[in-house]
Amino acid sequence: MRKLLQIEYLRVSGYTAFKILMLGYFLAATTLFLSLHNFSFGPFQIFGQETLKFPYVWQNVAFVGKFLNLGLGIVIILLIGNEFSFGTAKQNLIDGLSRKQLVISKYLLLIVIALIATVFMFFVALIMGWANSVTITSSLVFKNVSFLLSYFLHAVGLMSLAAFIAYLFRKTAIATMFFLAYVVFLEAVLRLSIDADFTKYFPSRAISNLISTPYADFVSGMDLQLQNEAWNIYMLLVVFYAFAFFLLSIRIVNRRSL
Amino acid sequence: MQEVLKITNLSKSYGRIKAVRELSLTVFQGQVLGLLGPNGSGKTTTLSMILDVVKPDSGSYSWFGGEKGTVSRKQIGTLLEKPNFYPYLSALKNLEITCSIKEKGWENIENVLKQIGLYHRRNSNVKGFSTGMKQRLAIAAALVTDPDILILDEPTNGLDPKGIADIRDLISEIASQGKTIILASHLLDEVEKICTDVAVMKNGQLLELRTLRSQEKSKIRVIELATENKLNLKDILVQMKGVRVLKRLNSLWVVETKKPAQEINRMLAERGIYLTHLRERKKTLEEEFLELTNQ
Repeated sequence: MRKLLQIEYLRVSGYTAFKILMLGYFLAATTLFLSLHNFSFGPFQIFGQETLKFPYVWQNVAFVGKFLNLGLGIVIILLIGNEFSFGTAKQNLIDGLSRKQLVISKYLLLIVIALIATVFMFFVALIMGWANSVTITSSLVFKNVSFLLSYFLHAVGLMSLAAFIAYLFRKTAIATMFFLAYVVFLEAVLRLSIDADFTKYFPSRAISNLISTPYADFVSGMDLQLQNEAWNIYMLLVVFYAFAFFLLSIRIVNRRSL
Repeated sequence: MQEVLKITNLSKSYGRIKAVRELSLTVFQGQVLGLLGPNGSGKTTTLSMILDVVKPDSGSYSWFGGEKGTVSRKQIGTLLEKPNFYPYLSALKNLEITCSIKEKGWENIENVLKQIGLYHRRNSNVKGFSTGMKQRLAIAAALVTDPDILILDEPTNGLDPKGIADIRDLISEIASQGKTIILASHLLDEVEKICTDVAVMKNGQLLELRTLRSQEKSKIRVIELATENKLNLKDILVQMKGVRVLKRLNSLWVVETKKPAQEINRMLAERGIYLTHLRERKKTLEEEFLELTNQ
């Protein structure tokens, strides 16, 4: 596993496009969080001064951060698509990696990216909470830190879906378009056409439901799915989906010629 | 001799096209096997299947008497079709990835880059390389871990004449070290110089598999003839028993026969044909290949 990560590091460490995209992600996140005070939803100021205090800031940051995870999904599609367009997936196989290892290395990479993004979110939330909170005690500071686990699972879930789509289509452009279309509206159209309660467990919805609209305490009376607790059924469901996408990716790569 | 690769009834179709049909072949340690065949004969598909890149429809293959997985591929240096590299990485970094996958150290990288003539460009990104340079790097990648077996599919593609000569010498040197090599090439002259055995394929089938040394033992001679009276010469040659006209090369007629050149000369002189050129030589691999594949 360490060997596969080392190989992935060699692949991405010299890839300027990857570095730019990751840097773009962190810059976009920083800019977004610095301007959170100005966010409003109708008459409600969603991210007011109160919401950036401990312990609410964890959920706040995780909720905003989940929208940026789409970018991480595109990064993964780019990395996998490159392996096919450059013919390096084939070359790596010839050199001695197994088909399973080809897939495992990319899933390991996406877990590492999700971890780095989560650590980044941790520091962002910590700094913002520190700057906006009047009362700072360790129990208050870390009360809702479990929302970062939701954020991590969200990133892993979404990137796993993206990786699966990338292995399915192999072409970066087609896979990116399908991924965005699926996450943004295809699954929503499907859910509407079925119109049943179980559709909330569909992949994209389940991943999104990990961190639903924050602050039941502040945004009461609105017809929104509100969430006060990080722990929910979707955590297990997303782990299941990520594993399923991983196994399906292996199956696709195992069955096809490279 | 130890069996390195055993292919049994391997077949692969692409839609209606049968790329490889029931191919069986055994490669032994130290053998330098030339895989010949016209375009579309199934050479690359065969190599792709034994490297697990293409899934066979039926049949099987085994490396080192049983191992079919990653372990065996790590012991093989391969150049298949075109060079595949991360274009945004340097030659050095690409070879580091190759070594890491093969679980070998990086200490041989600089040596092999020097050997292949790319050391001065080791830190340049591959996307700036010419076709020939990429080909050289692909050969470097095949050699960098000092593998026991080399599989080279058209290794001189895109190289200039000096590059072709360099690579030919390099392959000869490697072959002389007793390594096993499978070489697919259109350059029959190269194959003839380097290989100990040849397998000829056409339409996915193995037409012939034999050692090149058997050619030397063969009693069939190839004789080149020339005379001032060219038309008459051909007519007479066709009528002569035990003589087969192979082809005409400018002013030369090339025949195949078991008779010695002196006897042919005497027989023609009896018929009033006096030769201006008479040379006995071995049948070239190219002549045999064209004959086998009906080209």
